[in-house]
Amino acid sequence: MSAVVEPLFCLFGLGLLLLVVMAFASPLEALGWWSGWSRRRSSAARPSDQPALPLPHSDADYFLVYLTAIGGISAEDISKRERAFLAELQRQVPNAEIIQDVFPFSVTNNPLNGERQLGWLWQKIHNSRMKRRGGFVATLIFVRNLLQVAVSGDPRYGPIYNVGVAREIGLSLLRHGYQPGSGKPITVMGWSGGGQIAVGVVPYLNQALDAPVYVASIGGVITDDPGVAYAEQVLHLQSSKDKFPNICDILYPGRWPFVRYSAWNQALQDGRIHTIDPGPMTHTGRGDYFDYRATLPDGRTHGQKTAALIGQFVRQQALPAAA
Amino acid sequence: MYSFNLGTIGGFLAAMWALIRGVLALDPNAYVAALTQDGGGRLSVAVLFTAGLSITLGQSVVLFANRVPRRRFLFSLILSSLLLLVGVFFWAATVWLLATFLFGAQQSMRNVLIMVSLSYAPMVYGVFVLLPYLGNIIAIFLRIWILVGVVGAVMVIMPLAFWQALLCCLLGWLFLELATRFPLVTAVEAWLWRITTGAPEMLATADVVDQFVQEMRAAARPFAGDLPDEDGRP
Repeated sequence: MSAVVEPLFCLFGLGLLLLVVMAFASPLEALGWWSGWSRRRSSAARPSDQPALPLPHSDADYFLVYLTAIGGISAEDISKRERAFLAELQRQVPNAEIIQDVFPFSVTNNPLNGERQLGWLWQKIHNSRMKRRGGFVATLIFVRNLLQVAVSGDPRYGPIYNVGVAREIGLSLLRHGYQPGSGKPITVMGWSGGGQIAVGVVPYLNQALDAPVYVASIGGVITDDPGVAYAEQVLHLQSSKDKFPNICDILYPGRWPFVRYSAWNQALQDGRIHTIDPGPMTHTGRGDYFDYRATLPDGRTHGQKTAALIGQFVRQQALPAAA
Repeated sequence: MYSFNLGTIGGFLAAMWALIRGVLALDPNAYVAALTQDGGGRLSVAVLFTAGLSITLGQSVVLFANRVPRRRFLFSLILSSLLLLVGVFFWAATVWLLATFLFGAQQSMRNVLIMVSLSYAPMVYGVFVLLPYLGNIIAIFLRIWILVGVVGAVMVIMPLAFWQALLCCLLGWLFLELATRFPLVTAVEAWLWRITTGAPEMLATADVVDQFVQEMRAAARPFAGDLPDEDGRP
């Protein structure tokens, strides 16, 4: 018996130790970037260090930024169903510029397989996951990114983390032709853990670009981040089959209904948070919000329904008078 | 159970660890051993300094937020730990004064100082405050643990009822909080901050980030140069 139990305990202990080490390391990327300790060239944490860019001008009326979920290793490496969803969303809102080049789980938009000491390791883990051989090791990507969500939602680290991601989103918006002060609405969409980052960046985008910022959360796991106070409107899509987002209702006091003056509850009272059940969808995997095979009773695929709801949310946003 | 052999570094560390474990378990014998055996005072200061280093590391986000350079970081950690010693000395002194003059307890100031210092042993876990989300909960838990330890320690060395010991400790803590707000104390703290970190003043993370956002805003504005102004003129 002990021949089975002891190795299991040993494995459990090692797993726990690894988790603690990863948790300790989780705020260091953001803190290293902010303090200037990081050696990465793009880590220059002063806006004035950014060279002036030859910026294009976009005629788009709406700017949408998509932030992937905690399974991602980079902004480019999103799943086929996410791409299909974004293409459908573009059809829903043809006059929108959809941006998907920001990796929300790095304060410097540095993919896990990018310029990092352990970049090769993350790539290896990702490769084995793609071949469905990853098993336990593949969950390290989820754990690593989940810890970044916790950093974003932590009042001590959140401002630094979120302003870093907001800077990357802001630069991407400028590269895609967004004109600061134009009043054109920006919608930050986040799936799962990306939902928290989407809320976290709102105040900084709002202030830095003089822009009305909206949030579309797709099964978003959102903490009691004060950023929600700066959002014009929040659309929160959550299926009755998806219980993951409910975890924040328990873990974060600002989400408790009787904490009436929290930013979240104030936004609820102001009618700025709209929760919609898009139908029976799972949080991730087969039958999730982006599934383009699973269909609803009305014949639409999950991805089509999600895109339709977000498209409607975007089209309802007020445009500046001149636009 | 607690016998100290402080002749070697290994012996000193072993004695320190034994004391820490005893205090964490709220074992009265650990306190008694520190009072009755040679070197108890030195051990209690060592425990406090270690706890100070750990909690300062756990709360080091303020140093990162203020962009303290690497070389000054370690210096700031050590100084913060030393400042904790001063704070504990003040707390012990007020507890001693209150217990002596309010309730007529007979105990030396040195012994109270050893007790309060040792009670900071749970702070050796202070580095865990660094953890995202859990860190905030751990910080609260550690403070409660220390308070319980100090109250227990005071009851070990003074013939006080629980409520009397609790009152002395809570009032002592309140005086400490008030003292840290005196202009002279804040001025000294600000001076120490300047010489150790090289930063002009200690800013809260939100304030530093606000400055950054204003810089971002200024950096983004030239790109909007072609936009019409408020009167609609290009």
